[in-house]
Amino acid sequence: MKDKEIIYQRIRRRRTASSERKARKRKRYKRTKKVRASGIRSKSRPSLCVLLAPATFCLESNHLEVLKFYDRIEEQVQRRRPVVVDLNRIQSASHSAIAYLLSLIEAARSNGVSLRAKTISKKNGTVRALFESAGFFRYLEDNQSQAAVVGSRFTIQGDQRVNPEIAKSLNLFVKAVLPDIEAEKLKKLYVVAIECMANTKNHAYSDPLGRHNKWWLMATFDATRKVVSISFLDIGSGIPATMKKRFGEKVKETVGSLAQFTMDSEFIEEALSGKTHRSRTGRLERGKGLPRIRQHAEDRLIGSLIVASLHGRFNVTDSKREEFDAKLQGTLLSWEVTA
Amino acid sequence: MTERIINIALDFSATPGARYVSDGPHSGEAFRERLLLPALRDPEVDRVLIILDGAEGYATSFLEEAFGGAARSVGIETCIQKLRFKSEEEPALSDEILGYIRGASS
Repeated sequence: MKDKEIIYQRIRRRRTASSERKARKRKRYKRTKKVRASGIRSKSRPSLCVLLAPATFCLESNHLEVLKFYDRIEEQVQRRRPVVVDLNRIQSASHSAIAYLLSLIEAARSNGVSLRAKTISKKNGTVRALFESAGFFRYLEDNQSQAAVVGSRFTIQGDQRVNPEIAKSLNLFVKAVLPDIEAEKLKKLYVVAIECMANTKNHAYSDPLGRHNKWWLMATFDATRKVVSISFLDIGSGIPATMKKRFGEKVKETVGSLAQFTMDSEFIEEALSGKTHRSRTGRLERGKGLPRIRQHAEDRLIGSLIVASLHGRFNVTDSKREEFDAKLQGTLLSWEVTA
Repeated sequence: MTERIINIALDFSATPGARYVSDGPHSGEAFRERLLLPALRDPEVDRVLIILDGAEGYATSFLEEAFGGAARSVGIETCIQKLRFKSEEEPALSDEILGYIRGASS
């Protein structure tokens, strides 16, 4: 008797469950029918785009390919497509290329676009260590820089305003790895860092109060060559776009854009020369920062100074100008310091 | 004769910044308003000695805004008469600053 009751109970439970399932199905069907009838379509998520970083991920030695890679990223970000950057093919990298990638990731995230970097496999130990020493993955996790000097390395630093403490940290790092460096070189290094920060704050971005108008500073020490390589970059409007131009230059620029040639490297050289007043502010006391940096390079207080912006690149040490098809959005200054 | 001494590294900051207060901390504008102009405007002070040593370094924008800005405010002649500079670490700085004072345009 008891067994029969248990069997009936089970049957009843099964029937209830089955009718509930059917009811849920009917409800779902009705909802779909209603949505279809109203003509509103549910938003489809854009497909994920995976982009492979070039093997030589170095803005100094592989400028064009790295810029094309950044261009591809920006293209997808503008389409608001989620992007994953695969860094596993990289054989060698420079801190400036890493910092630029970081700045792109932060800018994309601030615009609500998902841009992620795939962790580098342990097999690629050297490159992984380089990214880690630059503080790349930590920055992505915490969304802020670590302490500038960690042991004998300088992690990527970013800020919006002039930050004398970071400039001082750079000096401390250089002094630690190059203990015999002259005091005058250290003073000029501090000045160059401050001038770069001030230039970004005042000229790089069209909206000076923008929340994500940042500069990025990084430094690495090559123990074999006993050289510290320093890079400073922003992703603003770029020197050629922000400097004050003469009438003849404006004409030449317009003709150039129609004939598809650029003259950005000429503008960079002109901005660094300080021969004529080029500050957009129109004030005569302004616009002295870049010429002073060039002066320090000519006085050999800093070495191998290269300034790249938009389509142009100017090597101050060799007085060499280059134009590229791909565009570096913003400005990159890189230089070296020796003891 | 009364002399006032301003040691930038000790009295203001060992890490001078850029031009304006809006640029970031320890700007030339802040130095000028807080220390330099009160000393230059004090009728009892005949000479202001600026000690430049001890700081990490001076950006052109800091120096121009501090000293060029002071010249624009109290006059080029007053600045040249009253200001004296001392720098053993960077002796060329004095001439650079005098250049900013002489070249100050209102």
